[in-house]
Amino acid sequence: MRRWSGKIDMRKVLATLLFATLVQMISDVVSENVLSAGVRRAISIPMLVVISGCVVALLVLALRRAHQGEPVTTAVDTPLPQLRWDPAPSTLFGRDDEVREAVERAAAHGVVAIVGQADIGTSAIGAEVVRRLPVDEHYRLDMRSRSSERPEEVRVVASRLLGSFGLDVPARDDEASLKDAAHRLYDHLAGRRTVLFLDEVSLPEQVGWLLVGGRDTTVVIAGEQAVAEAVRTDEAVHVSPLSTEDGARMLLAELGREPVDDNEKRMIHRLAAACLGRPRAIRDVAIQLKGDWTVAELAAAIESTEDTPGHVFRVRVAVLAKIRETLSPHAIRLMDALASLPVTELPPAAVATLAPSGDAALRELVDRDLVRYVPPGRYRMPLEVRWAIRQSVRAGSVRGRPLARLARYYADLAEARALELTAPDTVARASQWFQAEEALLLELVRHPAPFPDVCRIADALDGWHGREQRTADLLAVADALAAAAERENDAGVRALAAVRRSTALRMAGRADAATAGLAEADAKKVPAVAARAQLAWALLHLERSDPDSLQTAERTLRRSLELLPHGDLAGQACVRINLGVVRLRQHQPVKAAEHLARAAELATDAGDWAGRAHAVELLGVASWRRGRYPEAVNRWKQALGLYRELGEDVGAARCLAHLGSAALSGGEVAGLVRDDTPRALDWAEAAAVAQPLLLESLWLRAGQPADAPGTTLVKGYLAEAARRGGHPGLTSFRPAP
Amino acid sequence: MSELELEVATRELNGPVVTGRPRRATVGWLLGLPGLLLVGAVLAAPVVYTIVISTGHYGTLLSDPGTWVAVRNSLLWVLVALGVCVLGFGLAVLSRRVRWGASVLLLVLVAPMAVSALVTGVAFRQMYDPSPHRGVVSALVTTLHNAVEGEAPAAGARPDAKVSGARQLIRQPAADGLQTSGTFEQGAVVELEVVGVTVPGNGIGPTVTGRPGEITGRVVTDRQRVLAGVPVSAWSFGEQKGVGITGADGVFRIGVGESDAGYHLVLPEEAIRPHFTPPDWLGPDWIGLCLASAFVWAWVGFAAALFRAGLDAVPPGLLRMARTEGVGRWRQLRTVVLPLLRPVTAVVLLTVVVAAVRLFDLVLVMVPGSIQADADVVAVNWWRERPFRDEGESAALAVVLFAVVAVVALFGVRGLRHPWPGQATPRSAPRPRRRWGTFLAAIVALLWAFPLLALVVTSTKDPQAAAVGEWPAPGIASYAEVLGNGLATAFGSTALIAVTATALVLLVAVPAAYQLAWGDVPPRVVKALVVLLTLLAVAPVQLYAEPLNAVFGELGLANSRAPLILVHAAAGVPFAVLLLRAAFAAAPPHLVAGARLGEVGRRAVFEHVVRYAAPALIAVAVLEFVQVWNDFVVGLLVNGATPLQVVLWGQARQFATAIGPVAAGAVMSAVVPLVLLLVTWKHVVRGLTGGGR
Repeated sequence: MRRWSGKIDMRKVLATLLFATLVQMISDVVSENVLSAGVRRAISIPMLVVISGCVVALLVLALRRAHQGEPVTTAVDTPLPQLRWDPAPSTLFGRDDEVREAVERAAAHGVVAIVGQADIGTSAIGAEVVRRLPVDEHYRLDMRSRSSERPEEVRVVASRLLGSFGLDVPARDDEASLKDAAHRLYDHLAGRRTVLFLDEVSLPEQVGWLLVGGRDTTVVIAGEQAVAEAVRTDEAVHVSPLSTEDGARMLLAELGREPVDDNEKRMIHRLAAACLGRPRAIRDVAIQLKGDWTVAELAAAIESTEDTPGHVFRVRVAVLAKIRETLSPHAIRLMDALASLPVTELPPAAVATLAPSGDAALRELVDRDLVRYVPPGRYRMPLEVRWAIRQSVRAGSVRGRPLARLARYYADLAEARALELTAPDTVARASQWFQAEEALLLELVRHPAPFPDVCRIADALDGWHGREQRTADLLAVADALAAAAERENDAGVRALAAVRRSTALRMAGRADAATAGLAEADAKKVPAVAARAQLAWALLHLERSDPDSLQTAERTLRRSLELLPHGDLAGQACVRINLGVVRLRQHQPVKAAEHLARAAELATDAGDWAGRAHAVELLGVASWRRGRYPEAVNRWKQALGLYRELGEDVGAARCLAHLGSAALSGGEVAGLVRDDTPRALDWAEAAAVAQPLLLESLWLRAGQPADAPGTTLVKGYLAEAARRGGHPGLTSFRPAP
Repeated sequence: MSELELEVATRELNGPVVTGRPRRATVGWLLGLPGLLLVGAVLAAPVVYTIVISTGHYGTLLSDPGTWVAVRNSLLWVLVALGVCVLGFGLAVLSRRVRWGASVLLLVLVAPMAVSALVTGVAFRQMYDPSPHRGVVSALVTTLHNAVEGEAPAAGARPDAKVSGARQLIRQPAADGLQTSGTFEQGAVVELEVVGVTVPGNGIGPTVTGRPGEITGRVVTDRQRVLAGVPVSAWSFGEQKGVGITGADGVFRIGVGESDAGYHLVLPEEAIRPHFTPPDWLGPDWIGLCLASAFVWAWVGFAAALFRAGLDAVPPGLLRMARTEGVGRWRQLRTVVLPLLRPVTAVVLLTVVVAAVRLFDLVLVMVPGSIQADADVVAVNWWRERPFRDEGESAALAVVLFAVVAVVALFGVRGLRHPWPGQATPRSAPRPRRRWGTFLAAIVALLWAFPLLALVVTSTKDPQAAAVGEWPAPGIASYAEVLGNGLATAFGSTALIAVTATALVLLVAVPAAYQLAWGDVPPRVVKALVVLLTLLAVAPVQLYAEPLNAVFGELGLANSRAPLILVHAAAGVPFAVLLLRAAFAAAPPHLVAGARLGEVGRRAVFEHVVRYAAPALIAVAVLEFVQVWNDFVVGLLVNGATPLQVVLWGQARQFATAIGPVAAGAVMSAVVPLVLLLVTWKHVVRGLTGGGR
């Protein structure tokens, strides 16, 4: 249904309907003297069939369209979590030594890692340490993956951390880029005493890149044993399980009463011992004892779960079995669905798609502490609960294919948001959505959800990461897509993934690996993918600027244009822009302008405003090369406006650099840049016009590698501006004589 | 200011893949439609029809020994074609060794290309006429023989049977000559009369008187002419007693003394030895060689010109490198030159071998009817035996002919897959010039120019004088006669057909070739079309003439110009498309690419490419025009208006008596294509060797 309905053009159906109605009416009006009854019937009956068919088709299309639009309209945007945090006072049992030691080490070294086994209570100790440190601001980053059960990847950690402070996310995940990102973060936090609390850390790499020594920032890390490797020995504090005595004390404190007799006291000790010194398990036991369970019942239930692997979870398995009996069928279904999903945190709208009466079921689960609210606007089933449910429910028995439903939901949403990324009035909302959901989306791509939905999500992510020029993320999505294609044995998608992987590698500066990868891609079977492969080849050739490479690039771009589907206007615009680049590098601005003008038209027709901005920007370059300076300045200003509306910092940075460098080139152009009038400015005035533009350009390039050609160029112009009477201290760059 | 360095960033294409098919230009496909229709209707369909009706007739056909003779002869012609290629290569090498006049040599070599096979046949038949008075070769051989052996003063003299008595000459073996039957004493006057003398002799003078001690007399022919320089000896009792030699007045005097003895007079054998008779070149023993020489004359220039273009394109640095590494000349040729010349060789071989296998008109014109069975080839056999065979057998023979040329053509196409050498860089590499080379080239040039010169000379003779081999003062009587015999009308008709067919070929082939070169035709389809076009380009007329004649008859087009125009155009389109496609494809990609990408319109691309491929267009136009103008076989086999060559052939059937007018007609028919080809030859060669501007 979806396929054929997608191919039908509603306007054509309407036109057919009108035509058939008209013929039907005329045949009725015409006298029987003119047309015999038989002829009239021969006309009338088919027309009636056509009319009926058209009406049915229109109804189906309308319903389909309404259904398709549903997820987009009901989607609730999830804002990014705020890191600023105010730790509340807490009561710890048996942790005084660890807290004191950690505070001392943090004060001495500016960094401390509180490490121990899972659920051992490092987060609570860390929070107490942060509270006791004499600082102005606290920031807490929960390093648990918001999307998967695996430890969060370093690139995601960096993205979340820097993104939360409004800083540019590093484009690459290599050591230098991450180090640069850390410095930018500490620079941002400099000037006030700050604690950065990195909680729930699983791997040393997650935090290693941050340990470069911020001047005014203290880093407190709480996590698993392995994290100790990220710091020096004297910067780590190892946390042990609570003793049974402390555990029993804690349990009684949680219950708020003393044991009624020795027997109960013994039971309490047995329960505390069963929790193996894990404070959170003790807290869970306390919650149950406050509710439906007696101490004796709970102790017996725990003892009956001897065969549960991992003693730590015996308590939870036993508790869950009891709770399950009290839940509604919808809540049980939702619970099982959430536990079966590979993603961990979901917004309520997504949760609602997993079971009938999803909102009510979710409330029920939250009330029973099986699902917890994670601000802002998400719900998370704790890992221990998830494991416990999986222990009691067979994977195949989960009803309703929750992963497929979730993938469909997110695929629809991602497609809509990806479209919004190209329009100025919706780009901000779409960007925010992608920032919030990208990790979850990637997790969906990595799991065996329905293949078409996986591809749609991967496409949307590719568009988003490409826009942000985040090569590491592009690579991750391409790898996930390749794995999905391998599972499905889909050669076309496999080739597409290979092309995307090559693109990501090239953007990351690994041209050799990109070439090797692209050479292996068998993209001939699907013209649209073959077109992208040709484009990827062309861009690889364009990395070099010798005449042969330019000619080869032009040839492959031409091939790409021939292969692109007729309807892929944005693709055609992109190829034409690159053809314009080839011509500009071949010093043929007139021919370049022809391509770029056509690209601008195509991008406008496709609704690809970023493409249009790029074409207009390069048209400006072509105008400049042709000596049409006012036209060039005008175009760069136009493109800059578009880039700003779209939030495309990279493009805006280029336009600012064009304008700044143009202002440096002559007084009249500087006048044009400043006032839109060709009033000649002197050198110092021109430098004063150029400097802020170039500085902003440099600032917008913060996420890019420091040695990127564009950045180097801007630094050179800044130095030139400073030499002409600007502010020499603005940059340390000195052009070669 | 414009030196400002600006960041020119590329653009990535991320996001969803838009599915769908790339745009295919339907207009492009339509470009090839006229060609497809023309070739399909006029060539392919009749060919298929012929192949279909030929089935079941091969057994009967092959049981005819005449067929086998024809097939054997046709295959022998392949060897001749190979010889042409070798000789052409040698002449191309020679032309590079010439100190001056290399282009003259090439032009002279190429000139025969412009004349029709019929004219070639006329020229060579005239050259090989057994009579030394008409046939240049016979005259040359006789002269040569006489120069070596000496000419008898009373060559061919025989006794006059009307003379009786003592003066009667009798052949006397013992005397080794002609001897009088009686004897004569001193003071006698004897008139020795002979017949059959082939030398002209002098006019007879006054009566001769005798002297004592001498025998006086004259040697007189039956035409009352006296022979000078004839030795006459006096013999008595087996001994020669004296010798006298006739003077300009034919008088001899032999001193024999005052004795009363009687003397026999003897004309010695060396004086009466008959004139040298050259071989009968046009007889069964020599006709093969004569035909081969005519074929070589006609085609070797083509091979030489193309090889020369190929040799000029061999990078001199490559040969220099080979030389410095001590590679010998033969090895250079084998390992460097010949591999580079592979595509040129393929074209030459393909063209010449196919021409040899399809040979028709040359045989028909040169070989006298009485011995045509000996020199039979498949194409002629098909024509000669057609009235005696049924339709299926004729079709089967045509298919056999086609099969042979098809195999050759397919091998040639394989050779063509190698890239063409680059364009010639004239004078880029100084080559060693040899004096002997110039000398040799001059001889070759003379040799090659000779047949045409002889033809021109013959055409200026009076028709009667030409028939008997006399040499009157030059005149235009032969021209006047031939024009009066309907040749003028044929000229106009042929010109109209040639121009129309050429225009039609260009009109149809250019868009089709452009589409094949730069259109969206899938490579596999292009490959298949190239093979198909190659096969159609070499398909002999015999394969499709009969079905077409039936169709033209049905349509009421028989005996009009339309059938000839259509058949010529259809037969020319495959070759034209192949040639133009190669030329279009060789156009610089950026020229087409830039235009196709919208930097200029599609029409402008087309114009760019066509302008670039101008040499190939000229080659196609010139070759098509020349081919149609010189055509004989299509005009003979297809029921259309009578073209020039067929008219000439009609006159050439009374060759011996009409040699003057035939030569005049041949010269007139050769002028137009000759001038055209010589003027455009450089472009034609460039076009043929795949070169653009």
